[in-house]
Amino acid sequence: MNELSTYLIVAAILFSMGLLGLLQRRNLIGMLISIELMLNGASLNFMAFNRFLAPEPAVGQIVTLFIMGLAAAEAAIGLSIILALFRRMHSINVERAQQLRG
Amino acid sequence: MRTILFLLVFLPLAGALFHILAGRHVSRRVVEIVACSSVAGSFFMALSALLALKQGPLRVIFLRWFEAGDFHAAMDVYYDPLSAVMALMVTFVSALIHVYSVGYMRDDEDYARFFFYLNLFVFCMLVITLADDLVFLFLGWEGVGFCSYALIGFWYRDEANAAAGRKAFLLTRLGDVAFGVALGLVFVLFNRLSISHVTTHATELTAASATVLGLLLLWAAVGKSAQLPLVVWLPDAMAGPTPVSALIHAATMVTAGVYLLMRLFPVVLMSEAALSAIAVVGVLSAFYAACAALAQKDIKRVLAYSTISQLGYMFLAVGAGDVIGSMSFLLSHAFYKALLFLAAGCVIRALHEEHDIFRMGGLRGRLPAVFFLFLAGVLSLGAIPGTGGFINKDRILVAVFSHPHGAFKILWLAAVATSFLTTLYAFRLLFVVFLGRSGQSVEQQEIHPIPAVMTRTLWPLAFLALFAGFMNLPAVWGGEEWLAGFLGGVPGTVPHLHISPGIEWFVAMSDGVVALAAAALAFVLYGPVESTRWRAVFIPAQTVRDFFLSGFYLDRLYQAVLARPYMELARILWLKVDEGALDGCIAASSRTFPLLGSVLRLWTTGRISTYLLGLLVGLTVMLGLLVIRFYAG
Amino acid sequence: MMDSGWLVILPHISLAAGGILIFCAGAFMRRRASDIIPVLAFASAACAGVSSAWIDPGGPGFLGMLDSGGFSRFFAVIFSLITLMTLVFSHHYARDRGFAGDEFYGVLLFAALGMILVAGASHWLIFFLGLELLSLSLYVLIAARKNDPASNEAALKYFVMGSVAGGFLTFGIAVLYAVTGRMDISAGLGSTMTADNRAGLLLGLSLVMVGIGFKISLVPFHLWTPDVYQGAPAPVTAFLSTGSKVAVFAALLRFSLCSHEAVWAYMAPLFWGLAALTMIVGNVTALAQTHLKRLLAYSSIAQMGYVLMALLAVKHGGASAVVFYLAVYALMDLGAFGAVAVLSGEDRERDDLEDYRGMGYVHPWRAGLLAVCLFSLAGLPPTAGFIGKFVLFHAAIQAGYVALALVGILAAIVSVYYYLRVMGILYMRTGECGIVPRTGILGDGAGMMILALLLLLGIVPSPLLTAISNIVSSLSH
Repeated sequence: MNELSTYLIVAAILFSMGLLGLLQRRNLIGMLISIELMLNGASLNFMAFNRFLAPEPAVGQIVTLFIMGLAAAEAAIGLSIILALFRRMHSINVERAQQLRG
Repeated sequence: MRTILFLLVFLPLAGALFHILAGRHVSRRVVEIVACSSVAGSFFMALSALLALKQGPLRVIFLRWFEAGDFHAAMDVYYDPLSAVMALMVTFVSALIHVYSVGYMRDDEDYARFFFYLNLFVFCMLVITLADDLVFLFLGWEGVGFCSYALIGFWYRDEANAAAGRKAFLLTRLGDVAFGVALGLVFVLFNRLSISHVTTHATELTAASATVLGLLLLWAAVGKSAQLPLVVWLPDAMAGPTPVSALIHAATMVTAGVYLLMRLFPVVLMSEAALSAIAVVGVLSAFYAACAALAQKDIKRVLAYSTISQLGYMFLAVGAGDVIGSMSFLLSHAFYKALLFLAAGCVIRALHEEHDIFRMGGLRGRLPAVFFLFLAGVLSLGAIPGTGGFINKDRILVAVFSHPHGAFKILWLAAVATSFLTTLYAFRLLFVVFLGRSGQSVEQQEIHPIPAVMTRTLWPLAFLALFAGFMNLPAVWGGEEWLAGFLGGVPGTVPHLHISPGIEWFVAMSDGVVALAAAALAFVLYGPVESTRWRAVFIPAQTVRDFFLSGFYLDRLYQAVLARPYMELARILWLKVDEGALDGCIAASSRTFPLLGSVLRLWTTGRISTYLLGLLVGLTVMLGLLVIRFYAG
Repeated sequence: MMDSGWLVILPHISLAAGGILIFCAGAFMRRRASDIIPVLAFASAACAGVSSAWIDPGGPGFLGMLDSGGFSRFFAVIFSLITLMTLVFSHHYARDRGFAGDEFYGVLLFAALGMILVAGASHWLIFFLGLELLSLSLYVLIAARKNDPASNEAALKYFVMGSVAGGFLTFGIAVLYAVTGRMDISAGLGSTMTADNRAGLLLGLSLVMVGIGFKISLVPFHLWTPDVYQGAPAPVTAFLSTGSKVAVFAALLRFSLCSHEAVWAYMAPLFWGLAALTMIVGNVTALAQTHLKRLLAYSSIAQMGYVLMALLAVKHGGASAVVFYLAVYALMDLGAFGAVAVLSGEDRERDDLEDYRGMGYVHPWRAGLLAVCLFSLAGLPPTAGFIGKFVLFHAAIQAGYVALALVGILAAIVSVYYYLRVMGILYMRTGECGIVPRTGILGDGAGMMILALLLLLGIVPSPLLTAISNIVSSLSH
C-alpha cells in the first residue's frame, strides 16, 4: 500500500467518524467535536495531496493553517451559542431545541 | 413631435402620480388645478399633434421595454389620422368632464382618490388610443378596466356599488381573456406585436386564421363595449358617480372595444365571416338595448342602455366595412352622450340624488339651462334631421343599405326600426323629465343649487353634439366630407361611399321620416297633453314592460344558466371532497395542494438530526446518480 | 499591476476597516458609541458600494485570488445595497430590542465582506474563507437577541448545519485540489476530464454542491431554512435570505460558466432534479404555512429553484437571466422581510398571519411594500418579478428544458395562491391590529426605494438587462 492512500484512508475515516458522530450524538459538545473531526479529515487530505501530488508546494499547508484558524473560531462561536442555550434550557441535548418546526 | 406625443400620453399619468403622492397633503384647490390642467395640457398636445400631422402616419418609440429572442415589447405610439382624431376626442371630453367633476365632487371628501383614478384612466385610455405595441395596448386595456372597477365602486361603503364594480370587472375580464388569446395568436402569425406591422401585413393572412383572429377580437370588443351577450354589466355600472358614467361608460372606455376593431380593421377585413358576425352582434345589441331603454325608470339606466344601443350602430358600421362612418358616429356619440349624462347629473344633483324619472317632471321652468342642454343632446341622439347625429347615422345606414350582400338589407331594416325606438325613448326621457306635470320629487323639495361650473362646461359639448356631424356632410347636400377625407389614409377605409344620389336620398328620407314620426309619437304618449286613448293603444302590457325593464331578464338568465349551476357544481364537489375524502376529481386540486403542503411540512420536524439526515440523503442520492451515469456512459 | 490590485480590494478594505473601527469604538468610547456606530457602519458600506460601482480597477485581478471584472463589481454593489438596507431596517429594530451594540454592526459588515469575497473569488481558498467568514458572522447575527429562545434555537440550528456543510465543502475542495492539482477555480474546473480524474472530480463537485445546496437551501438541503428564518430577527432574516443566497449563487454561476463541457454534462441532470424538487417542495409546503416568516422562507426556497432551472441554460446564454433574477430576488426578499421588520410591534415579532389582518388600512405604505413584494415574488405584472420570471423561463425553454419549465410554471401557478392569500389578509377589513411605532425617515425611505425599484424594473427592465448581458459576456471569455 503506498503512502498516499494510507493518509487518504485515515482522512476518510476521520471524516466518516465525524459524520457518524453527528448523526449519533444528541450532546452538543459531542457534536462540536465531531465537526472538528470532519474538518481535520479535510485538513489531512490537503496536507497529503500537497505532499504527494500537487505542483505548487505551499498551497496545501496554507489552506490547512486557515482551516485550523477557522475551526478555532467556529468552536468559540459554537460554544457561546451552546452556553446561551444552556442558560435557558439547562441542558445541552440538541433534541430539546425544537420549538421551531413545521 | 416626439415631445408632443410623449406629453400627450404621459401628462395625465404625471397628474395621477401627483395625486397619489401628494394629494393628501395639499389643498383641494391644488388637486383640482393639477387634475384639470394635466388633462387640458394633454388636449392641447393632441391638438398641436393633429395640426402637425402632415407627413402621414408616424411611429415613435418612447422606450424599449424588453426583448427576449423574437419577442419585443416597447412603449411606442403609432400616430395616424384615426388615432389622432380619437385622441383629440378623448382628451377634449376628458378635460371638460374633469372641470365638471370639480363642481360635482365639491362636497366629497375623497377628491384626491377620485381625481387619481380619473387621471389614471385618461392615461390608460390614451395608451389604448395611441399604442402601437399590442402589449402596451393591453396594459392600457387592463388599466381602464381597473379604473372603471375602482370608480364604479367609488362609494364602496355601499355594498351594491362594490358589487356593481365587481360585476363589471368580472364580465369585462371574460372579454380580456379573448384579447389575451388574440395577442398570442397575433404573435404566432406575424412574429411581431406591432399594430403598424400587423395592419400592413394583414393581407398575408389565410381566411381561416383571419376569421379566428377576427372573432377573438370581436369577443374582446364585445366585453369592453358591453354588446350582446356581455351587456349586463353596463346598466349596473351606473352606480358610479355621474361624471364617471359620462366619461368611462359613455364617451371613452366602452368605445375602446369598437375602436380596437377599427384599429385592426385590415385583419378583420380579411374575413367575410368575422365582418358579418360583427354586423349581426351590432344590430342585435342595438335593437335589444333600445327596447330595454324604452322601459327604464332610472334616468341613468335609460342612458346606459342607449349607450349599448348606439355602440351597436358602431359595430354595425364596422361590420358593413365603413370604418369612417363608425368613427364619425363614435365622435358624435361621445359628444351627445357625455352631454346627456352630465346634464342628467345636474338634474340628479338638483333633485337630491333622485334617479326615478317618474318622480321628476316639469323641470323646464326650474332648470331652464339644463333643459336646453338636454334638448340639444336628445335632438342629436334622436337623429332629428338637421343635427350632427342624423348625418352620422345616415352615413351608417347608407353603408349598410348599399352593402353588396343581400342579407344586409335585413340588417338595414332592423337598424331603421331601432332608429325609431331610439328617437322614441330619447324624447320620452325629455318629455317625462322636463315637461308634463311636476313629479313628487320636484314638488316636495327645494331645488338644490347647481354650481355654475357644471352647466357652463356643457355648452361646448352641446355645440359639438349638434354640429360636429357637419364635418362629414355628404356631397349630395353640398358637403365636403372633410372628416372622411382626413381619415381616408387609414388602411381599409373607404372615404366616399360612391352611392347613386337616389339611394342616398331614399335612405335619408326614410330615416328622417322615421325619426320625426317617433318624436311625434313620443309627444302624443308622454308629452304635456294627456292622451289616455293613444296610450292605451301604444303602451304595451305590464308584463312586456317588465320584460323590457329588466333587460330581457338577461341577468336572471345568466344567474340561472351560468352562475347558479357553477355554484351548485362547486357545492357538490365541495361536499363530496369534504365527506368522501379525495375522489380524485380535478376540482379538488385546490384542496389537494394545501393538504400535500401540510404533509410535506411534517418533514421539517424541527430536529437537527432530521436535517442532517436530509443533507446526507441528498449527498447519497447525488453520488448514486453520478455513479450510475459513470458506469452507464 | 500592483496599483490596480489595490483598487480591486478597495471595497473589501473599506468594509474590514469599518468593522474593526466599530469594534474599537465599542471598546473605547463607551459613552457615545451608540451614536457613532451606526453612522460608521453606514459610511463604510456606502463607501464599499461607491468604490465598487464607480472605480474600475481594470487589470486581471488581485494576485490571482480575486476577480476584478464587471461580474464581481456588480455583485459587490448589490451586497453593499443589501447591507445598507439591512442597516436601515435594523436601526430602530435593534435599538428597541437592545442589541444595537458594536458586535451587531461590526459583524454585519464582516458578513458583507464575506459575501463580496464569495462572489468575487477566483481561487478556492478565497471562496472558502469568504464563505466561512460569512457563516461565522451570520451565526452571531442570528443569535443577536440573546434573551430570545427562538433566536438561540435558530442560531444553534444554523450553526450545526452550517458547520457540517462547511465540512463537506472543505473536503470537496480538498478532493478537487487533489485531482486537478490547482486551487485556481477556472483552471481547475475547466481542465479536461480524463479517465483518471473523472471520479475524483465528480466526488469533489458533489461534496461542494452539498455545501452550496445548504447555503442556497435547495431541497433536500433546505430543512433548516424556515426554522432559522423564523427565529432570527427580521432584519437579519432579510440579510440572510438575500445576501448569503445571492453570494453563493453568484459563485455557483461562476463555477458553472467556467466548468468544462464534459463536467457540465454530468452535473446538469443533478441540477435538473434539484431544481424540480426545490420548486415543487418549496411552493407546496408554503401553502400550508400560517406564519409569515416561514411562508416567506419556503417561498425563498422555491425562488432558488427557479433560478437553478435557468442556471441549466447557462451554456446557452442563460447567465444574464440568472443574474437579473438574483438582483430582483434580492430586492423582493429584502423588501418582504424588511416590511416584516418595520411592521413588527415593540414587544414581539408580528409573525402569525392573522396578526396582519387589515394591516393595509392601518399602515398603507408599509403594508403596500409587503404587498408589492409578494406580488413580485408571485411573478405578476407589472413588477420586476414578472420580468424576472419571464426571462428565467424563456432562458430555460430556449435551452430546451421544456419539461422542467413546465414543472416550474405549474409550481408558480400553485404559488400564486399563497401569495394572494397573504394579500387578502392584509386588505381584509375585519379584525384589529395594533399600531406600530414609527420607523424613522430612513426606514420609510428604504421601503419606498425598494418599492419604486421593483415597479421601475417591472416597467423598464431593458437598461439593467442590457448592462447585465454585457457583464456576463465579459465573464465567459
